[in-house]
Amino acid sequence: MRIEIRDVAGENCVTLAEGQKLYELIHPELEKALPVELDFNGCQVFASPFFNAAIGQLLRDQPPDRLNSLLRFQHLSPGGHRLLSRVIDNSKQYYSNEALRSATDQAILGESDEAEV
Amino acid sequence: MRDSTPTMSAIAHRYFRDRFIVDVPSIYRGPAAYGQLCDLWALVQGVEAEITFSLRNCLFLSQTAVAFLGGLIRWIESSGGVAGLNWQSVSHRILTNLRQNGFAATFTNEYGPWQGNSVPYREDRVDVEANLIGYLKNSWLMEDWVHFTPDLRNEVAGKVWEIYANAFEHAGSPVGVFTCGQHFPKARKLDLSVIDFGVGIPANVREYLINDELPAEQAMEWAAQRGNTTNPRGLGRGLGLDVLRELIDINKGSLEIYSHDGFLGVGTDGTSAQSGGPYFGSIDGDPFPGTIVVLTLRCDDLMYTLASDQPEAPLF
Repeated sequence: MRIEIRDVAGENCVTLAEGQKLYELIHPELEKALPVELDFNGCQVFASPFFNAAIGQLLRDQPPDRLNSLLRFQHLSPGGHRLLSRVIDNSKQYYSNEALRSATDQAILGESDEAEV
Repeated sequence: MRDSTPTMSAIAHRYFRDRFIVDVPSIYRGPAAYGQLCDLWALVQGVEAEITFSLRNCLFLSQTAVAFLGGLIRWIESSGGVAGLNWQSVSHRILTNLRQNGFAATFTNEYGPWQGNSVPYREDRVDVEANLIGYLKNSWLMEDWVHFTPDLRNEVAGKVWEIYANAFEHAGSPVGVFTCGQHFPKARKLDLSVIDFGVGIPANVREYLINDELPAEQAMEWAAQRGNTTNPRGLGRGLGLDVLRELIDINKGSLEIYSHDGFLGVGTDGTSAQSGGPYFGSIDGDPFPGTIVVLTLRCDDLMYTLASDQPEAPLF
């Protein structure tokens, strides 16, 4: 399957809602182990909410190896590529180690408790 | 019910012919200016009379103050009150600025905006991203001011959009988001102020962490850490500030975030968070509940370079 991102999100790929739309196109294909090519031709501006919803969320139930072999990114600008890479790193941590969040939260709560003693 | 007794404040105010007159002082930038804005906020709480902001004692109004004043008027209106500027009290210099940035045309039949060194004032109730990104690219990152390549302009606009994404997603501002900017040609700097009148960062973090006692600076620090988000949707989030921090690092700019009695500063000397006290001037009563973000970029194009190569390593 080949998806023209501009048809889905327009030239600004920035919002959570547009990212979710793209996710809902990609995820069923990957579930069937079918390749997906994402063509970013004409897309200019990128922000993390879009990539978090569209791509980062895939890591919830898709192993990285499968995503590397099935998902292709075409015509993504260098800035978009860097941001996507950062979102993927963050999402891998988020979905692979759910304890991370609670540990961070606990650290803050602990500091607060100590401050009150 | 709104109380008719105004809060004590360092800002001059009085009743005159059933109107509550507030003398807006000169408001520059930084924590002291935030204290003044908090004072303005506190002063109008509970006032039932029509509120008039007088600028007779005001010699300078920063772009943050312009955006805040517009938002404050809208907030008063949304709360059932009536508020406005006494335009006869505005000095010629400030009036020209308010005409040029479109503030005057927003609230009166005055003409404007037109192109100058002020970046247009705007009010956004919903996140129409095409409008906002067009504004960032064409009205703020103007070609005459910053000599960015189209790719760089797009990348910076995307990073700055993260401020709006946070405001619309987390703040719950009943009157939306208010923006104004300023170009400083001699200093070769560009400022952008984005203000919401929502619940604020400390309140969001305290609710998320179920800790009502969490000091504001710890809440701000928590929100600034990569990966931390109060978004309940179960998505990996919390990159917005990280993305902005990268921009600040490379551009040698700065970012100031004020919310409640908390402050988070990002600059060339790192990130620091502080809480209230004397830092915010003469706040009397509850601090401003929303969030004020002030971003400063340097216009020097050489200060920011895009890496054009893409790594060969697998993305996932």
